[in-house]
Amino acid sequence: MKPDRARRIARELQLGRSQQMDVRFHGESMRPLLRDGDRVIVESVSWEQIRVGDLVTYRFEDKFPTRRVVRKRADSLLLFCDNWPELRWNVAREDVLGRATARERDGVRLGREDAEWSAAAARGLAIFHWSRARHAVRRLRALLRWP
Amino acid sequence: MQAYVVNRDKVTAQVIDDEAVILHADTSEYFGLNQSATWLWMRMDTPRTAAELIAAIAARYRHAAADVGQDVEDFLSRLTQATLIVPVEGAASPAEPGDAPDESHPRDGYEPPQLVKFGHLETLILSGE
Repeated sequence: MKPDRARRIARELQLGRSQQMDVRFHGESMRPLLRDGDRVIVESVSWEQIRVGDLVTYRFEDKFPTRRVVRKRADSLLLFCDNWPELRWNVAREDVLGRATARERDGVRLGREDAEWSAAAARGLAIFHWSRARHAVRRLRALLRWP
Repeated sequence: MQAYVVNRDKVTAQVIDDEAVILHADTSEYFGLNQSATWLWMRMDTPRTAAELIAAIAARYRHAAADVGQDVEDFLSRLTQATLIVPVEGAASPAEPGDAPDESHPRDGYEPPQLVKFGHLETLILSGE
C-alpha cells in the first residue's frame, strides 16, 4: 500500500475512533469565527443532526476542510466559507466526518451554545444569501444588457 | 499456553484490498500490513497461539509449518513490541467456522507477513482552504 493512501486511511481512523477530537484550524477562510491556530472541537454526529448553519468537517483527498452548511439535501451538503462568499462546495454525505462544536483561542472557549457562535452562523448565512442575490442581479443585468 | 489478541483498547484498523492499515491511539503511529499479515491479523480478533497461526498460514499457502514458523514468530514479536497485539494466557479460542485453514482454496505467492511503520500522525489540522 502506498504511504499516501495509508496516511489517508489512518486519518479517517483517527477521526472515526473517537466521538470528539481536539484539532487545530489552519487558514483564513472561516474568519472571523475560526482563525489560523484556533483549537477546534469536532464531534462525530449522525447525518440527521446536521443543520443548515453548522460547521462540518469532511474528507477531501488527504485534507479535512471545515466549512459552513448552507443547504442540506438528501445525500449531500452545499458548503461555503464565511470569508470566501463567492465559492461553494458540494459534499457527499459519506464524506462528512463531523461537526465543529467549539473553538478555543487564547485559552477562551466558545461553543455552539454561545451567542457569538450563533451570531457567526447567522452572519455566515446572511452573507451566503446576499452573495446569491447579488449574483442573481448581475446575471439579470447581463441578460437585460443593463449597464 | 500463551495466545495473542488484537489490542482493541489501543488500536483501530481498516482492511482495504486485503491490506490493513492500523492506527495506535496512544502513539498516533500508523502501520500497514501486507496480505498474509492482514490475514493473520484478522485471525487475532480472538486469542490465537503462535502454533495455531503458523499451522493456519502454512495450510493457506501450502507451505510446511517449519518454513513459515520463523516468519510468523518475527511478525508476532514486532506486533507485540508495537503493542498492537497483547499476549494473553490461557487456552486458545475454539475454532470458529471460517477459521479453519482453507485447504480447499489454498493461495499461491506466499510472502512473509510484514508490518510496516508508515509514520506518526501529528495533530490533525483542519484546513478551510
